This record gives sequence, structure tokens and C-alpha cells, in this order.
Amino acid sequence: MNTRGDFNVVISDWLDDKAGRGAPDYLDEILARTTRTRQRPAWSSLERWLPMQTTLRFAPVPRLAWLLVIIALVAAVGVALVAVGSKTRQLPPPFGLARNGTIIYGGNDQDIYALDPLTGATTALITGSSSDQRPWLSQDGTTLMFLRDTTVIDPVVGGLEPMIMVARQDGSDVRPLTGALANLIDAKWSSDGSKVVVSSDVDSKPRSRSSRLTARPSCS
Amino acid sequence: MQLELVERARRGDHDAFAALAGAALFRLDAAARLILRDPDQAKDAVQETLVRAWRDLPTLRSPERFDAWLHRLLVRACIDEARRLRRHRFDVELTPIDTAATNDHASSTAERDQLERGFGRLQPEARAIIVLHHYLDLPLPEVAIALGIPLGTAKSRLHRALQSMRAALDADSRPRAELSEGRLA
Repeated sequence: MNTRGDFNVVISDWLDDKAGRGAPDYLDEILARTTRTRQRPAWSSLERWLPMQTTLRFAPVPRLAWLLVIIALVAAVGVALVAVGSKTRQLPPPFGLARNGTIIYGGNDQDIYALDPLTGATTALITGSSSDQRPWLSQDGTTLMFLRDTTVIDPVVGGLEPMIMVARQDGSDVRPLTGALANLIDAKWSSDGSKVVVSSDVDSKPRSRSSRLTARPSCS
Repeated sequence: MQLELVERARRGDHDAFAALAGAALFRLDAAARLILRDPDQAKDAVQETLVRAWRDLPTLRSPERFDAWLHRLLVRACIDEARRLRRHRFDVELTPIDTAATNDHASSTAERDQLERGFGRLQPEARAIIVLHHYLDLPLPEVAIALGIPLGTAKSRLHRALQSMRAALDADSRPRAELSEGRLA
């Protein structure tokens, strides 16, 4: 037993000798058990469906791969920081920054005009024989509300009762929102531009009511 | 021939399985006796192995690897059996009475005893790897497959098991040599 080879031979011989030659006599017992045992269906083994390796060898990961992973992570963090830092916070209307837009106003000729503050140019939006005044843009700037004199005479103050009209901000699609209003006190847009709240006298008593724009003038 | 039997047994042919079991029984029983060092335990392990083999044979993907698969089942059954009994039994190792070697026969007997003791001190898992390689003559790649471990692990485990056996033999033989030289007298 001086060398490894000798020792292996000794071990093999000894095991062979120790194992003996006698045949076991319990095969019938085993077969009796197997006849009572049902075989598992082939599909019940997960290994038949999923390719899997039952032994696992860990491959060494080269240092360069780790370095590339770290560089990629640092770059990703940098990009994320730049993206977050440079992003301008945009508030939804009506709280966002105002854009340079037209100023809508009522002219002394009872027509509605738009003034471009950058160029100073004036454009007539709503003209005609009717008497239109006091325009208000909705807060999103898409819809215009203004007063138009009706032919109904106010019984208290004696003037013509106004009605509220709406139009697109460019003066198109003009249509009435209310009928003649007695002693109109105020009118305001709701913040989402879907309704107009009107305060006026009803039967000689001040009342407020809201009128919904069932179909808003479409934006161009 | 064996491949055909395996294919038939996979399809539920019990006679084919009986032929396979009969051919493998002595080999399995001897290996189990060597691993477990107890004929009754070995019988239980072999029975469990063959019953499992019959039950799971349809799930065997590669019929040509039937033998390796059977060896794997046997090793598992042996280790399970050893663990089961380890919970209920205390092994008492008897210290050998050293006698001086006077002739070849006595020397051979003493060597066998040393091998027996060295082998007995190993864990069942280590005995299994020695039995698969040195008794069943399986090459190491097949031993690795039978044990479900990587080849490198099989090599190192076999190396450690043999080294441990050699160390046990060397330790056993030292007092005897010293006794024969009169150092302990």
C-alpha cells in the first residue's frame, strides 16, 4: 500500500471479496410489491417538460463583466438624475403658466375684438347689428362668453335686458346660452369651462343659477 | 437488449421490469451491503430502489442511462436508510487488540481488518462514492451523474474518502509497528 495505484487495487479487491458471490433471494418480494405499485404517468415529471440540468456548475464571471455592469449602473443613475432635474414641472390649466395670447375686449361700437399684445394688431371677432359687450374667456381660453342685448325691456331700470352668448375664442360658432336676464349682477366661468354661473334678479329677487354648456363650441 | 427491456418496462411491461430487476439485483444488493454494512438495511434499500424504479420508470427521459439512474436511486435509498437508522441506533466501535504480525496470512488478515475499520469510519455518502468507483467500476463521470453532483465534486469527494481511509489505516498500523519493534514494551 505504498503507492496510490496499489492502494486503489487493494481497495477494489477487498470490496470485491467483501461483497461475496451469494445471490439475494428476495427478488420475488420486490416483484410482489411492484405489481401492487402503479407507475407514474410520464407527463407527471417536470423534467420531461422543462429542460433542466440536474447538476450545476458555476462559471467564473470575468472582472471585466463586473466592471461593465458597474459602469452601466452609474450611467443609468446619471441619466435618471439628469432627466429628473431637467424636467419642468407643468401645472394643469388653469394653474399653469399663461401663454402669450390674445386679449378679448368689447369695443365702443358694441362689437367684440381681439388684441394681439405682441404685434398690437386688432381683429374683430363678433360684429353685426347686435349690441355685444363684456366678453370673458373661459379659464382654458377656448370659449368666449359675452352679453348681447335683447329686445326685452328691464321693468325696473328701463334698459334692455341682456342675454349670455357663447362662441369659440376666434369668434365663430356664436350661440345663446341663456334667455333675457333681468338685472344681471354677475356671470363667471366655472374653472373647467363647462358651466357659467349667473347672478341676476328673478321676480325682483336676487338669485344665482348655473347654466351648463351642453355642447361647448368646438376648438379650432 | 437491455434498452429494449427498459423501453418495454417504461410502457408498463412488468415482465420486462422483472428481467431488469433480476439482472441488477446482485449488483445492487452487494453495493448496498457495502455502503450500509448491514444486510437487512441493504435489503430494505434495494427493495425501495427497485420499487421506486418501477414507479418512476415512465418519467425516465433517457432509457440508455437506466443503469446510472438505478445507481442514483440506490445511493439515495442507502443514504435515506442510513439516516433513518442513525436516529435509532448507537454504533459502538470496538478497539482492536493489537497483535504482532508473524506471517503473511496474519498480515493479510490484519490488513483486511484495518480496511474494514477504515471503511466503517466513513460516512455512508463517502462509502457510496468508493463503492460506485471501486466496486461497480463506474468511471468518475458516471459516478458524478449517479450522485447528481458535478464531476469536480465527485473527484474531490473520492480523493478525501480514500485519504481518510489511508489515514485511518496508517493510524491503526502505527502502534502495531511500534509494538513489534518493542517501543511500547
